[in-house]
Amino acid sequence: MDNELALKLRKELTYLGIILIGGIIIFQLLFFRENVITTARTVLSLYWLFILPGFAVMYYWHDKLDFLERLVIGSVLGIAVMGIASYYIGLAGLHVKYHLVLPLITIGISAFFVLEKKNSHENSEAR
Amino acid sequence: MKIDFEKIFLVVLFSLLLWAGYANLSGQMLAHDFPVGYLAADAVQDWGWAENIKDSGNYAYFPEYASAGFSKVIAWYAPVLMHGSVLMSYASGLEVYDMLIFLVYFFAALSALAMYFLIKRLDRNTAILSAPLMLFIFFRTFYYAFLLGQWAYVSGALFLVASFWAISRLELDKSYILLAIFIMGNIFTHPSELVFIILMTGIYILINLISKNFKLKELKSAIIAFAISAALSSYFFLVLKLSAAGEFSGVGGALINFKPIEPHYGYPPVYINEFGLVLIPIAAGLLLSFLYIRKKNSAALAAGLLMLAVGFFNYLGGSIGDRAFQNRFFWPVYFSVFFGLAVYLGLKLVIKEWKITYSVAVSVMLMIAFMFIFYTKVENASLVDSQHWQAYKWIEKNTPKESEILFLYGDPYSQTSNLWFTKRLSKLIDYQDYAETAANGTIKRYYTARHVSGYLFYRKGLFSSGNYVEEKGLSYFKNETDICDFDYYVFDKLTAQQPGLVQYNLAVRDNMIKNGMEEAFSNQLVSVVKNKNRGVNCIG
Repeated sequence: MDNELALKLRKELTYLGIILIGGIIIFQLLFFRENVITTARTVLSLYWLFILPGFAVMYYWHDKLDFLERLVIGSVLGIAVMGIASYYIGLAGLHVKYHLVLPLITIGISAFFVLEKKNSHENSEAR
Repeated sequence: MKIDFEKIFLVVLFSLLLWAGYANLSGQMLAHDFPVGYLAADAVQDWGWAENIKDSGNYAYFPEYASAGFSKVIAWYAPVLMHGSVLMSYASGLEVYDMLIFLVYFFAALSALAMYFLIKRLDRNTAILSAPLMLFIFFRTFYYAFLLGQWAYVSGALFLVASFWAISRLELDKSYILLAIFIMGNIFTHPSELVFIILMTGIYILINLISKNFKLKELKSAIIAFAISAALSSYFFLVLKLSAAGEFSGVGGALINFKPIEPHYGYPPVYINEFGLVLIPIAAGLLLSFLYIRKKNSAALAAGLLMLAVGFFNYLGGSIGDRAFQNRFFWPVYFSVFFGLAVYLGLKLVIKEWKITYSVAVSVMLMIAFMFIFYTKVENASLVDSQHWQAYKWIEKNTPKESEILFLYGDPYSQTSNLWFTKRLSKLIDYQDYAETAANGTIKRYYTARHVSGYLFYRKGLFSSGNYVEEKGLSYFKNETDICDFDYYVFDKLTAQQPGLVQYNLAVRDNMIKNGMEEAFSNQLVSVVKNKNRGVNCIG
């Protein structure tokens, strides 16, 4: 990974962290009768299941779309990917309770394609 | 440090939508002791199907208790919403009923943000000024989409807006991946909107052709996206063909038949005058949109125009017109671009040097004004109360799985899916027969009763299916029933609607207890009676 991509990723991971904490605070204000643990668990679940995998997939277009657009559209994308994958994997026989690992797989595959894109871009430039 | 007002504005919009929608309805809580915000049978059905995924591990079949006792009834309804809520339940530790309804409102807020980014392609000020109209999804008749359980539709609308966004981004490298995923999201949630994605793609390409912005690469990307989504959805298409396609094959089976459709889906129809005086800037924006439609990146305007037309497809009739009224529920999101465009251009006439901060300020003021004028808070409402929930859960935890339950009269059971909360095969007494017998002052052994079931399609072969409803006939599901032939009985003890029937409930219950049954559970509202000698005369 070159410095530029690593720096951008680090910066955006910091943003994601800030948004996570901000999200928990906003949710706690909206659902002020709820205890903080439940609120935090709900926001973390949204993050893990939909927002992070969607954001990871959208990273392929990090040079074309700004952070916030990738975050929002990526969240919609994460919902679709997780829902459809869980549906098919469930039908294939793996109980839905084990599907919480799906985001990790999605993030891994996305990282592979982002690096692949970067490498092919560097190779074409070298030529 | 430079303050980014746009980002703060988006946070405000998202928070306001969640507050106006779910935060108020839920009593400002995420976890509840019983389902809150469930106000229609459709919503409870969604819960039943999602809960069964958690129980069975997958979404192959609908639960037997929701299928009149038939096994292997094909499950086909909105897998993305159902699986999403189950995954959220596992991850958060909250109940499926809490996460299901929360996700629906979360999706709605996300739809507004996705629409914002679609409009932003046209113009950032227009996008910011569009936001106030989006709040209308929680105003007036529009709100019924949420309150009356049109949850799959609301979820599908999210993917429809995202598909519009992806169509507007076809110039991106490998954009077909994005469009394919959103198309699939739509197919796996509320497939009837797929037609509008196809139409939108065609309109977008046509506009680009007319305005000489057409690129063959974009057309190729769109074709690849549809091909990928068709291939990866092929199994689910088969599931739909074997099930829902039979149920929703349209009016007379024709796509268009020019026989206007009357509202018939059990929710009040939305009319365009629901916007009140706000219709004036919407109409102005609509007219202005014809000037801007040929501009590059005007997909939001094309989407608004398409969804305006779709809302009146009811005049085309046929299966394409059948869903017109439903699609009007999200007009506030689709029309927001017209509203934003009119307000922005109007303000620019007055102030030439317009800035983003002005747009943010005006938009926030309009949002506050709209909330004061149009918003009616719906708070802490539900079909279910703690006492009934206690009874349902007692039955689920303390009775054998094969037990059969008879529900006598109760106010909540007019929303019939409530019976599913017990997760036991149940029948509901026919209120008319029950009331007539009560009026005679007699208690009899045979009453009319019925199963409460959803769709009952089952596989006969790989490409063929049967429908139990057609094969068995309606008399199988609603018939003269021996009330002594059940394991448990649910009697309501209090009512807000039918005091005579509840009095009769208690008379029937006392008679059954006198003849050998025993009360197994009781609270202030509900009494559950156990039949120790099923099939034996229990009336005396």
